[in-house]
Amino acid sequence: VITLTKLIILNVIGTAIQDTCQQIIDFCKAQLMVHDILMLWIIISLFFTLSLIFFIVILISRAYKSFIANQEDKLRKKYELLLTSYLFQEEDMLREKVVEHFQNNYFNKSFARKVMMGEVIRLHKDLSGDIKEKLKELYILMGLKEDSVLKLKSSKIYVKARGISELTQMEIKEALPEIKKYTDHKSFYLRNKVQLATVKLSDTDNFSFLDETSYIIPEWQKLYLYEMIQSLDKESLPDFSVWSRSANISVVLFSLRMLKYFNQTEACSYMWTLLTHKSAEVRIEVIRMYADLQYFDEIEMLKYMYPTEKKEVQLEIINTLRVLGNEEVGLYLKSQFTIHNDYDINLALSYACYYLLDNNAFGNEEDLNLPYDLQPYTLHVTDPLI
Amino acid sequence: MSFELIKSVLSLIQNGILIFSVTIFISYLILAAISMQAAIQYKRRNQYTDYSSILSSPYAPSISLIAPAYNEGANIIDNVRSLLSLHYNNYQVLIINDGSKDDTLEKLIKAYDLEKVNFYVYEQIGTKTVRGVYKSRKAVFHNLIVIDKVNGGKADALNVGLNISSSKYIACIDVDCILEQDALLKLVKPFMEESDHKVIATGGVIRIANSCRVEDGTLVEVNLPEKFLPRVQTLEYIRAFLLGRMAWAKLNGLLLISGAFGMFDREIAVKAGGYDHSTVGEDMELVVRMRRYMHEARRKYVVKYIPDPLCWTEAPETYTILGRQRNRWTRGTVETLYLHRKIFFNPRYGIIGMLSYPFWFFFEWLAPIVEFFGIIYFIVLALFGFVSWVSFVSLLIAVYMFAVMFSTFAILIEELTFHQYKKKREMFLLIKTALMEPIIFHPFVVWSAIQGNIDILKGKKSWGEMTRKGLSQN
Repeated sequence: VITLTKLIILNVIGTAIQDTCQQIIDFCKAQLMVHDILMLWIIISLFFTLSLIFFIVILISRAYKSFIANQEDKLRKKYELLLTSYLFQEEDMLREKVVEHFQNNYFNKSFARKVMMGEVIRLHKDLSGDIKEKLKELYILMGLKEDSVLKLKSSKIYVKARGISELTQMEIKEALPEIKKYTDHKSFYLRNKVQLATVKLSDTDNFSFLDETSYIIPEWQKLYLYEMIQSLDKESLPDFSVWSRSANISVVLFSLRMLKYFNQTEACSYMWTLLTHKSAEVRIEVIRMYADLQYFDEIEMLKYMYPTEKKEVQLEIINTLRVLGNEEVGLYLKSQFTIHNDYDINLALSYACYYLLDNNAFGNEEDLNLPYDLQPYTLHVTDPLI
Repeated sequence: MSFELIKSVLSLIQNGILIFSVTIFISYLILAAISMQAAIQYKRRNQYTDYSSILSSPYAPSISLIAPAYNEGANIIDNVRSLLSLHYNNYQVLIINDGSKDDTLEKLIKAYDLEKVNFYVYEQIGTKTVRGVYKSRKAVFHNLIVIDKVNGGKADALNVGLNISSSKYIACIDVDCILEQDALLKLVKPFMEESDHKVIATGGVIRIANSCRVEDGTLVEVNLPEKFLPRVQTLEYIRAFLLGRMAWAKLNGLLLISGAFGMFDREIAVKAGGYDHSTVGEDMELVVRMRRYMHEARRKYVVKYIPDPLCWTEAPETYTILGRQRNRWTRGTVETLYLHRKIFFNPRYGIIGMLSYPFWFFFEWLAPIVEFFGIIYFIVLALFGFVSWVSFVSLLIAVYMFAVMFSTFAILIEELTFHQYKKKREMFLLIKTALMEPIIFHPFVVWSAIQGNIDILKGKKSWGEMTRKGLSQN
């Protein structure tokens, strides 16, 4: 009876386990129904088709790139010959013939015009003198100017910007009023191009954008502006101190750098008002300007503001006092060692003191007589290789 | 009753894995779409950028290039020469000899005529002892500084560089990497361009240099790696950099700038505490900490990323070295996520708290674990005969096709933007690699990640030896 009972129990349990397992198998297998699997295969087909499309696009892109590069090469070679004959041809009649030849043979396709535009712009950038003028003449004669103006009217920012760049490079002054409409455009990319165009193409108010822009002029853009300004006639440059009162801090900083860059020293006498400017960057730029323009009249003011200033301004004051300094300034700087225990400040002070020592502001090294605990600084600043 | 319970558990596991996988796929597709848009925008914006203006400008900001070197004697001279010949007019090169056991320092002293100087190193960030600072007697190498220190690891060496540098920006680089000549110009541009937010860091694309032609430490010809392992990593890098990081940068949620090459605002890096030498993922950890610092200081900031290929590095060519690298990457990720667990789904940290960190947590750290246990689960089901093979094969093919489709898309983006691999054969090889990767390479990467997780449980902290052939021998 016991054995039979055991067998029955085992059988019942076994059957239960077997049933459970079978149910699990059925469950697992049923997790993905037939229509789910169909769906899955639709997705697989989609991924496969997309992969195939991407692959084909890669192939097409390669073929297209290589075709375009070949075409460009061919056209460039032809244009080089024609451009050379145009640029170095003395007689007007012959030059006209060259233009005519251009227009009849190559100029009815936009691609050809694009290549030509690229060539003309490139040469205009690289060459100088009369040839530049002839290139500009050619640019106008062939209607490339109209192409650039059309780009300027495009609704796409990057096309518009390209048009401005071309017109700026080719010095098309009459396009400036249209370009200046975008002076305060929300796209910084476009604004930057307009600023460069204004500097280059204006006859009188090359820097009007400084009055009009409500946006910050980024440092990167300033580099381009500095480069562009260098090509201007120095006599025609405005008094940059006008913009030192702008509400736009980036404009103030730009104007201060320009004052310094073009040695407009007369502005220094009234720049002291900016020493209390809320922006530390502006204060630093003014102090740096004093050093660069060797303006000695504000030494006392700098000493006065030093104790309460931020560290970065203090460092600039030390550097400026070093450049402008005399014995009195030297003693003042020396006295600051005891106040600070800041590495950067102490290093700057050490540099300043030894600089003044070399320039005879102190009698000799014994007169300088820095405390022994400053030795690591003194060794650092007096090492000829550092 | 028991069946109902088992059914619920199985249902939970299966649906969980399915939802997890679908979410990963969808998020990858979204990131790819954002990346594509960002890459196109970048190309348009920089198509006509003239870098010559900054090249000669007195207003170019100062940069310190910090390159830690440990037992790099074989190639150090060429590597330093390459770093000294970059196109930028206001930079210094800091080579940190991190207690090398070989002749790295001696070779540098001899080749560059170095002399020990009385440089006062101020420890803003605590580091191992600096034994000496060297500068060249030759004026032509005036921008080279070599620092000899007691071995303390890469993070410690980078911190010494941070202490010594006085530049506005620091660029941290692996000394054996090859930089494009205009790499500094391109990487500094976002710092100077942004006006509304402070740019605290910028990263660029890292490319694989195996099989490329290198002469005197300069890359002269780009080639696709001949061997499968570096080639598959090339594809992986294209995918990660062009389809991943580009999107995260666009969302201002980028958490990782590769340790091989990245640029940082020195002041912010120092204020955030510099590199953490207790983690093997110091590159990611620094970016997260700098971001946290800016968030907590309530300052507007961005971390930028540019898709130009700027830095070329040698990829592991053997499974042993690759395994160590991936193991370390996993440990670095886990350590960083653990250190900064406070930001997990913390709205105070904006996009990094609500999106970037959870993405890294679920899809970078957890995904290989889920995948691994998914495979084990499948094997168990298969052993008991619980598997519907039709469903399994269909699912497997779907996943495989997704991987192939995604890689092909990455190759397409590379083709349309930077087009580095110009030979037709190279393109076909890349496609072939995309077909093989999910079968051969991916399982190994998952296994390395599992080992990394096991190692972190064991408390392993070492980097693992990374033997490299050296690019100058290519």
